[in-house]
Amino acid sequence: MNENPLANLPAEPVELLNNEASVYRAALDETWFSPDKTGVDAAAFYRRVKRDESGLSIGTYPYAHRESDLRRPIAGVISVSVGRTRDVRDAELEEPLDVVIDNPPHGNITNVPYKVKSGPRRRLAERVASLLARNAATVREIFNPPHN
Amino acid sequence: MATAERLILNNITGTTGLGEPLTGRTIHVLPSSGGYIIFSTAPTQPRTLLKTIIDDLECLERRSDYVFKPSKRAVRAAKFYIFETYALMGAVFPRPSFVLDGEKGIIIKWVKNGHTVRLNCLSNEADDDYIYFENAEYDTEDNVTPDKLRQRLNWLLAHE
Repeated sequence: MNENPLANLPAEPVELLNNEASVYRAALDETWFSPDKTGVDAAAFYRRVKRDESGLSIGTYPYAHRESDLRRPIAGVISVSVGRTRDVRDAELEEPLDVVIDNPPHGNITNVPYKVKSGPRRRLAERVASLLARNAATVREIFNPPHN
Repeated sequence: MATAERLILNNITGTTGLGEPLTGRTIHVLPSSGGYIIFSTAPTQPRTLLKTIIDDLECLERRSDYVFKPSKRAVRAAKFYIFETYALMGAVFPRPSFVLDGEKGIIIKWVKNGHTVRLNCLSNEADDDYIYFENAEYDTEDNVTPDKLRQRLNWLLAHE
């Protein structure tokens, strides 16, 4: 008999990506790009409480956001390296970051700490977002004017 | 006495023909059929750094095409920190950029030589603004005041 009650739940169908893959995240605001439009800001990787419950949404191709419920114009597309996402390390991070596909072409960057309003978790959320922006993300495309 | 001559004389005494001080004005002399046309112009006032920063900030409120807009509280807080810290630092106050946090807050951001300072102006009065800073190390600071921000910006500027 299995003593773990969670073991009997059906496993979520997730697809693991190899480290060489890239995934794509919609940039919801132009300020998520650096003023010279060559870099990505950490704000693109804040995990918001009550909104990003499964993680940070990504798509497997650059325009996957068009298949989501995102209807408002967006500022562009951010390319995210799967391997570099998994390489993000911090002593306070309990679980390593990962990228999984849950409902193709949609997936999530998982184990990103929530950006809470106060306390040490907020500090860690800022750090992880900063590392993702600097080490794993590049500007794929900027929409001018914004569109979907 | 012709106006031009009066202008020249007044130039010597430091005023225009209308009695306005000439300090900072440029004197122009153009040849014409009757002699010369002489006039002075005041220099165009350059936009100050502070005005440029506030203009950048207010642009965020006026945009219409985006999902995110900052709350009035976040804009008010951002202006407060900028005005008050600028008053403490003067011309060495570094020009920031602005980022929207996705929750109606504004981040005032400074980056220099691998060092970053981010002042998070949150959307609600109930939430405390905070500073996040990093180089090789990282941390946050609560209970933000203009003086605390000044010290953190001096830390940033010390790494030029």
